[in-house]
Amino acid sequence: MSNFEIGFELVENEVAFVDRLQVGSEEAFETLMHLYQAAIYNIAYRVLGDPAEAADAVQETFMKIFKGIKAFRGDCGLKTWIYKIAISESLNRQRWWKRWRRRAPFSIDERNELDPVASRLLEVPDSGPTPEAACARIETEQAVQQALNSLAFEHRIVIVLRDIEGLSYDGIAEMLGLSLGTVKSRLWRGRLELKKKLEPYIAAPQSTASERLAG
Amino acid sequence: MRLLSQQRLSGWLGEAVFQGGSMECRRAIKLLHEYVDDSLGWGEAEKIDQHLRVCPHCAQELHQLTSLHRLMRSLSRRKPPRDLDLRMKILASKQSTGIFPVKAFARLRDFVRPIAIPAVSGVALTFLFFVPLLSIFFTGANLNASDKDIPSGIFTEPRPQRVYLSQFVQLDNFRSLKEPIELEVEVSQDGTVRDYSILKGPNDPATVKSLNEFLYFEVKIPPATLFGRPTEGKIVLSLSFFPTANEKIDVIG
Repeated sequence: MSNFEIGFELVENEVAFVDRLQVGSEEAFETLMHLYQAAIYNIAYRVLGDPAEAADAVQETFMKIFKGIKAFRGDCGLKTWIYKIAISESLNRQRWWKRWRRRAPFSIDERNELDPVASRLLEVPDSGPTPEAACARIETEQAVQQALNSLAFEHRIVIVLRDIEGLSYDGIAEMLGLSLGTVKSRLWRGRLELKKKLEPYIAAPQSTASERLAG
Repeated sequence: MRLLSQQRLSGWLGEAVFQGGSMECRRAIKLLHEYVDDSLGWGEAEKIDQHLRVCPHCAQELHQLTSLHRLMRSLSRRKPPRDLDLRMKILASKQSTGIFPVKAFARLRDFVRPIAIPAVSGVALTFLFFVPLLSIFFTGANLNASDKDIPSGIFTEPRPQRVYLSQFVQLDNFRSLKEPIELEVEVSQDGTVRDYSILKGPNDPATVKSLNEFLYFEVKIPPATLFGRPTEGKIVLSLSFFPTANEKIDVIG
């Protein structure tokens, strides 16, 4: 169960919450944004690789939620419905970007070359005791994002939802409208490609798993 | 494209499949992803455990997958731009205050829906009644007023007219008249003379008899009207006799 589901249980029953959204309660919309804004932004950012594009995708997603909430009949969960809209919006932006810019979204490296201030947008938390550790972490994050950007959208979105957001296979299958087998297959292929690209960042084994298991 | 994918896949799996060298490794490699995600059933997980104890290549693969999994999970969550929260709040506020076109449209729809059928019916009936009239306006039909005016005032006097005498009236006494006879006549609702009095002129019995025959049986005067309905009235008449080919008595009110 993710933080957002826990949040929902703390707030109220989902059906009652949807009812309040459907009658246009400003308070309910603010709660909805509080619950989902960060998660949707994170997904959009990881999929699109650009902060401004991700922010626009979030805004557009909520606009569509506001417009479509009255038509929400509860055929799927509210979270699934919202994530579907966010994924669809990210995909549209990805297509638009490809069509008009004729290339993939900016990688973090490219952005930093163009805009020296952009490195401050990374806002990577201080995870190490030394500046060297922080720099290493930033470098790793950039490499991971670059590797993600290089994946096909269908592989990238599955990896973002599973490995970064921690959603279940079933949830991903429902959100993307795919079979469970297709989700597993895309995850497998995406991870293999990612593993190859991130090989220098994947820790070398201190001891083999067989040794650990045997021990 | 498919061939390329297969080649790349063979490359990825090459080390594990061909160095590990068994069908069991190939199956284990595929299941390792679910093993890492902790979504395998107990039986399959146990089989993978047993295989990993004896296969260093698959153990290496597991280590790399676990490291990748840990790396992905360790990525920091991106914080939205500071202005996004404000933009979202403005969005929510606009939504609740209903300044979006969609909200305005919904309100208009809710307002119009209950009156739609009566309004359409009204327009249809209006067309039904006024379209025939439009043909009158646009075809130039003659709308001249009739000469026969119907008095619409509150009260109108009786209106006398020229009267031709029948053969039953004795005219001898009238032929001797030198001056017109002036009479005050009471006219009933049906236009007949109810009573009269001679104001000026001969008053002998012979003339009175002729006047009785003439006024009571020959004369019919359009009656007075009150609000357009016939009613009793009085009128002063002047009778003159004109001996012509068609003998007649001129009655002047």
